[in-house]
Amino acid sequence: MVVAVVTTATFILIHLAPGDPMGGGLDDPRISEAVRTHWRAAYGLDQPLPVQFLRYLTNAARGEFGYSFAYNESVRSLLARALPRTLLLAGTALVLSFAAGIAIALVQVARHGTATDRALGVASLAVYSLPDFWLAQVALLTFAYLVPLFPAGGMVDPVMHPYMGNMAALWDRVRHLVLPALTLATLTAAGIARFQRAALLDVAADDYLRTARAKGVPERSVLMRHALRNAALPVITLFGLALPGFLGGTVFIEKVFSWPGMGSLAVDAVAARDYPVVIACAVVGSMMVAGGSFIADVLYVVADPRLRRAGGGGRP
Amino acid sequence: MTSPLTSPNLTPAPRVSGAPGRITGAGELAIVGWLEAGPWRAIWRRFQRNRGAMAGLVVIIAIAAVSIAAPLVAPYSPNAILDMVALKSQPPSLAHPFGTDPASRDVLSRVLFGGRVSLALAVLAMLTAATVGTMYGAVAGYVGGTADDVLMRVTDACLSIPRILLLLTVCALWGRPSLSALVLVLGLTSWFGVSRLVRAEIMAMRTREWVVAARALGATDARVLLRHMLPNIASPVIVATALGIGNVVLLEAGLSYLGVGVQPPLASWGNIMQDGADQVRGLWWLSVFPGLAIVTAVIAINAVGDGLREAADPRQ
Repeated sequence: MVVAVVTTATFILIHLAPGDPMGGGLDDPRISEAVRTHWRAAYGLDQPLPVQFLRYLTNAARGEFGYSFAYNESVRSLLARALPRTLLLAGTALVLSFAAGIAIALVQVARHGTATDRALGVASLAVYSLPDFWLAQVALLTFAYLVPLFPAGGMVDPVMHPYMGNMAALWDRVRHLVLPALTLATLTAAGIARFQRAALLDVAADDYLRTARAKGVPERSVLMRHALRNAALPVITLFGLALPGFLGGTVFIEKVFSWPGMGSLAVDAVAARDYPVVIACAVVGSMMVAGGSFIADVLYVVADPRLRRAGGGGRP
Repeated sequence: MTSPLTSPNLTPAPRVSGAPGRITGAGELAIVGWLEAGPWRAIWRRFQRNRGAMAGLVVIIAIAAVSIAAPLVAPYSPNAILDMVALKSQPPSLAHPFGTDPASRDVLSRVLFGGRVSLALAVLAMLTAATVGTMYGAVAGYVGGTADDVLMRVTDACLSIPRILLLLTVCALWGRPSLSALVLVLGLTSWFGVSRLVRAEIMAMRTREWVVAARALGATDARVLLRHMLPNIASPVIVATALGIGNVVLLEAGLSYLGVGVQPPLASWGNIMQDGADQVRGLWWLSVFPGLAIVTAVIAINAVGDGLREAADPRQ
C-alpha cells in the first residue's frame, strides 16, 4: 500500500515538475533535434502517459530504476552497493539507541520526580532538539579533529585498507563506524527515552503494579518484569513510527561523515539533478519503512497475547 | 500523546470536554472547579508553575524580538560583502563576534537576519499544516465509515514516507524553491500527525451528550463540527502545532544545509551552515554559531510545547 502510494506519487511528481524529464543532457544546444527524438524514444518518453506509467510500475516492481545520468551506471547496481552500507550503520545505531533509550527511561521512572529524573529529562529534550547534521558536525570537530580519536569519515582507510590483514581490516571498519553510529544512536535514543518514560509512567499507576508492590515484590523487579513488559507495546509502535525520522537522520549523518550509503547517494543525486537515483532512493527508503512497520505488526502479535487469541494482527 | 514522536491516536487522552456552560458528564464533576476558572486561564496558571516551560517562553520571546528587530540590532547588512581580501573567512573577533564567511559577510548579522527567515517559515508552514490537518482529521472523524478508512489509510501511507527523502525529491525536481513554495512544501508534509490527533478527538466526541443534543436541536453537521466540536479540541491542536514548529525549524535547517532549502544569498540558519559545510574544520564558526541559534530556539519551543501539554491535561 505504502509502496504503491510512493511510486505513484513520485511518478506524478516527475511529470508535474517543470522542464524536460531527461534533465540537463538534452538541453545542450549542440545536440540535434534528431538525436533528442532518438533518446526520447529510447527512454520511452514519446509514449502516452498511461503507457509510461505502466512501464514505470513494472520496472519499479522488478527493482529496475533505469540508468543514473551522473554515474553512467544502472541505478540498481548503485543501490546494491549503497544499501548494505546504510543497513550496517542504521542497524548498529538502532540497536544502540533502543538499548540506551529504554535504559534511560527506566532510570528516570525508578527515580521519578528526583533530580536525576529531571536532569535526564532535560538532557533528552535538549538532544531531541538538536539538528542531526549539527550534532554530527560537532562530533566530527571534537572527536576527529580536536581530539583525534576516530577517523574523520568514510567507511575504511582509503590508503591502507586494501593492505590490511583480516583482523586489522575489521578493526578499521569498526573504527570508522563508531562515530557515525554513536551520533545517530544518541539522537534517536533521546526520542525513545522521552517516549518510553511516558509509556512507563502511564502503566506505573495501574492496579497490578500496586498489587505487585503490596505483595512484596522488590521495586527493581516490579519495574523490570511487570511494568516494562506492559510498556513493550508502545516501544514496538515507536519502532514503526520512528523509522521514517530515523532514516532521515541517517541521510544527514551519512552526508557529514562521508559514509557512502543511501543517504549520501540521495544527497549527491539531488545536487547533480540525477532524477532516477533520487526517485529510486525515495522508493527504496519508503520500502524500508514499510518493511519496518510490517516487522512492528508481527512483533505486536508476538508481544501481546490478546492479539494472538483474537487471531488478528494489526494495531490496537 | 506523549511526545512529538508518538502517534497521537495511540493514547488518546480522554480530555475534559465542554467549555463552561456546556453539559458535562457526571464523571467530570470533580473538575468543575477547574472549568469554572475558565480552561485557558487554568492552563496558563498551570503553565506558569512549570519553570522549564516559562524559561522556554522567555527565550522564545527574546529570540523572536531580536529577529524582528534584526535591522536595528545587526551590526552589518546580512548580505554586505565587506572586504573580500581582508575580511574573508575571519575567525570570531571583537569586530565580528561570530566571524565572517567565505564571502566576507558578517556571520552575526546573517544569524540575526536568518532567524527571521527560519522562524517565520516554520510558523507559517506549521499554521498551514495545522489548518489542513484539522480540516482533514475533522472530516474523517465526523463522517466515519469507509470515507474515514480511506482518508486514514492515506495519512498512514504519508506518515511512513521518510519525509526528508520526499522533500529532497520535491525540492530537487522543482529546482530552486521560492520561500512561499518552501512554506507550502513543508506545511503540506507536516499535517499528517495533526490530522490523526484531530480525528481521534472528534471520534471520541461524536457520541457525547452535548453533541447529540446539538444535533437533536437541528444544528447542521457543519455547525456541530465548527461551533461545538472544534473549539473543544483547540488545546491539543495548539500543543501539536507548537511542537511541530520546532520540528519544522529543524527540517528547514536540514534542507537548507543540503542546499535545497532557502536559497542564497538570503540567509537562514541552515544555509549559513551550508556555507561552511565543506570546511567544518577550518570554518568551525560557520557551523557552531547558527547551530547554537537553532538548538536554543528549538529547545525553547519544545519546552513550551511540553509545558503546554502538561498544563492542558489536568489529569497528570
